[in-house]
Amino acid sequence: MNTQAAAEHEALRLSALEAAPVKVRIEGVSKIFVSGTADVTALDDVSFTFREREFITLLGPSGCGKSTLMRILAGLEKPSAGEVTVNHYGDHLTQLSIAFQDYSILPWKTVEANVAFGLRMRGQSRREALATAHTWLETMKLTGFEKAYPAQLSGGMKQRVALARALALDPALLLLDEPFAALDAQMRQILQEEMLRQWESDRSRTAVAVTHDLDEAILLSDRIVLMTARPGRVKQIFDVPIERPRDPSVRYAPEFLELRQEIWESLREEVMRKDKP
Amino acid sequence: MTNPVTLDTGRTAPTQGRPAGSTVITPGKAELNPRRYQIRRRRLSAVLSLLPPVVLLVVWQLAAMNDLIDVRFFPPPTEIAESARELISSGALFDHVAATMNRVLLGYVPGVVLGIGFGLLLGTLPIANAIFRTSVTGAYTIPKLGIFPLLLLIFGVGETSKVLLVGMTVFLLVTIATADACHAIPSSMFDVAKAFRANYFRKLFEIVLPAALPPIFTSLRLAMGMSILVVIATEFVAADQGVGYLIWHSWSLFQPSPMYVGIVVSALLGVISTAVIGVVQRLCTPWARTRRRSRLRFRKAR
Repeated sequence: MNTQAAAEHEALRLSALEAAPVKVRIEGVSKIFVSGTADVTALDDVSFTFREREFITLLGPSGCGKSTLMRILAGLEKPSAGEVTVNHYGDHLTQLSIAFQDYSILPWKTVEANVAFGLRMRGQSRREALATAHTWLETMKLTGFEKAYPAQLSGGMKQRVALARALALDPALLLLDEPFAALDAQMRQILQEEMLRQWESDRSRTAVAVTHDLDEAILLSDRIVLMTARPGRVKQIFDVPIERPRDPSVRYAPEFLELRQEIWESLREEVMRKDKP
Repeated sequence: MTNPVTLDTGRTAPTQGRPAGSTVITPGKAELNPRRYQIRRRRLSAVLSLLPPVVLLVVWQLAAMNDLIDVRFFPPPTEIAESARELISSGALFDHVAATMNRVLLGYVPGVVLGIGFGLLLGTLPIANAIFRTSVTGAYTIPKLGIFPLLLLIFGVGETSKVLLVGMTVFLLVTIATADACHAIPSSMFDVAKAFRANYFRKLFEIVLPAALPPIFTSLRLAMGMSILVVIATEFVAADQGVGYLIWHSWSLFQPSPMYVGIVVSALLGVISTAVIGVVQRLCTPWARTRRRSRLRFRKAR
């Protein structure tokens, strides 16, 4: 690889990102859960901005509020204070959709009906929605399982169904809430690579992912937002200076491992802090 | 990191095909003052629960006062309240309620205990289930009031026949609910019992009973309503005291007001006793926080 050309390419990519319009602006967002007498502060004054077509990953020890932040972005929850602005551009079919962890696909619907669900809820005809669903099932390598029920599928296949359901909506903002957490390590790696290929073949969206997996975060993201242990604050934001398109083998590149080490040291502090009373 | 200039252009960026816009997510009423919101919410639902009976009474009163309904059959609620006051001050109402609840509890408590026991048996021993399941289902379907004459024939008009009828009703319902609850326990919990070498009785009390308890309590609430219903119905024909007797006796004397008092009292008994079981349930199953509020809410799609 010509390192100088790569560096130039990278500088270009980053400047393109800089120039892109702001997609989501999170300003002073806090979330306090009130239950009985004890209040839990999940998010404490979180602010950051990300731009169109960025792939952002929220990383942090469990309980740091990253899923809460994602739920606020998805409109499933409202902040206790602060403001989130999601700007809409372009001609996507929907403004946002979300892929949850396992089990959020409906067991009483066939695979194709699950994938078509979002489109049907938006008022599309059955035929239209199923046609879109079938193209996504093909992309997700689920051809032949259109009429199967989720219980007949393996974990990896179920997760593909959940991804297909989110992508079928053609969202401008794609939210991935620990999308591969329920999978075994091998399957997870394969789906990460598929997600990477999918993302790079169609760079029209913005994505926010939540994960515990450092490799996944670096492999997929443009930037990584590292959060502190509860109450969750933004600790550090890492740029991922690895050029796209990325080959999965980049996992073993020195720059990848260096960044991994750097992020882990910062994350480790938080994980240890969390375990102290 | 963020450049304020691009921030501004971000909001007014030109779009293709779709109108430009932003979704702004800010705290709602529930988030700004969560505690007050919760209290207000609870108060509101308490007020709303009184709405149907209050509306019914108001409409009834107005209709009776304006001669829209026949007051010989539908006396105005004020008149019914007057009759209730008399029944309370004379102590007669208390005696009727005590007689009814006495019969209910004498049948209900043994019915519940035996029902849970037999249900656990059916739920844990396939052989017991094979033998008794169909018969229990069949017996459950027989209208209990239909065999009341038979019980009267055997046990006479005394308390035994009424209590027995309640006990049977409760027993069959709770048996079926308990057995079904046992069958719905995830097999992984039985794996835990097996892996840690729990014997049959330990398994029953450490795994099966707690796992089945929440659905069992649902059946206990339903069974309580049914017991009151059955007792009151038996008191129509074979009693000289009790809420059912009050209703039927007033009717035969053509005194509609005390009759309505009896009807309202039976509804109140159902509400109160079901609430009591709810409290017991919360104490017995602290791990299963019951959420009665419906999760289905309609939101604006974004």
